[in-house]
Amino acid sequence: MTSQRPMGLTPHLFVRDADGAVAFYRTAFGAAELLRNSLPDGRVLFIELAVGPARLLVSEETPSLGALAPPTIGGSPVLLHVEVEDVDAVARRAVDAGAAVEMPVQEMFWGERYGVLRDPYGHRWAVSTAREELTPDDIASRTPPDV
Amino acid sequence: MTVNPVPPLTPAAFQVLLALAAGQAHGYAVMRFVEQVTAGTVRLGPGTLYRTIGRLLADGLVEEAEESDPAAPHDARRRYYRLTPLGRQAAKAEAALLQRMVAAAAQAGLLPPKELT
Repeated sequence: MTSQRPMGLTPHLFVRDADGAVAFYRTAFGAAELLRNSLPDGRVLFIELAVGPARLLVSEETPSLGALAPPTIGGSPVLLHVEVEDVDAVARRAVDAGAAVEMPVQEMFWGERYGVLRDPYGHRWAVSTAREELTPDDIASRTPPDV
Repeated sequence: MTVNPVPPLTPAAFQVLLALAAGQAHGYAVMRFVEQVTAGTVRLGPGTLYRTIGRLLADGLVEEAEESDPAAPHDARRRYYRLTPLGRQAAKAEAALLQRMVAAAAQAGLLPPKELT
């Protein structure tokens, strides 16, 4: 019997102010809230979002569980990459909703229009739109000697 | 994404749209439909049903029917849903794509002969 439960990789983000973060992801990336689980005191254990065809989990920072948000650890070592239809429109919405631009949207040698943002909760996002379908050899020949 | 009016349908999403194509139904009926149409080989569990319908509601492909009791618990199995015009359009497009795939599979000898007629 085949289960229809979605398998695969799902980022799980810890934030200070889960409701605010979900509102931001809705505005910036069109995220839809699918499921929410809260403690009796109202603390959000997790919220499951759909972002395009992917899933995203968001939880309130809980130090006792080792669930630390970016401001607590002084940044984030992870870049979340989301491919969208119109990267410029998504980046504009994200910035209007409070994101900071780390790298402005621009044409990249691997065939994407691409930019990097930091959301108001400290998580880092690459947003991109594919422009050309390149082979690995094409990309290798366009790779700059240094970055 | 909000930038993409009809996102690609997951298999579970297509099965829900297919179950609602003949008319409105509650979640239990959708689950039974999937089990019957796949001869019991595919099961849509309550968690997946809830998430899939949540996604289809957010994307505007299905809507709750008026017969739903607004006070009913948040259990997709007991609520009534129907296709929106956008949902019907998405289901038609997916069915047409699958029809072309199945025709190609038959030509490639991947289906038993009786399916070729």
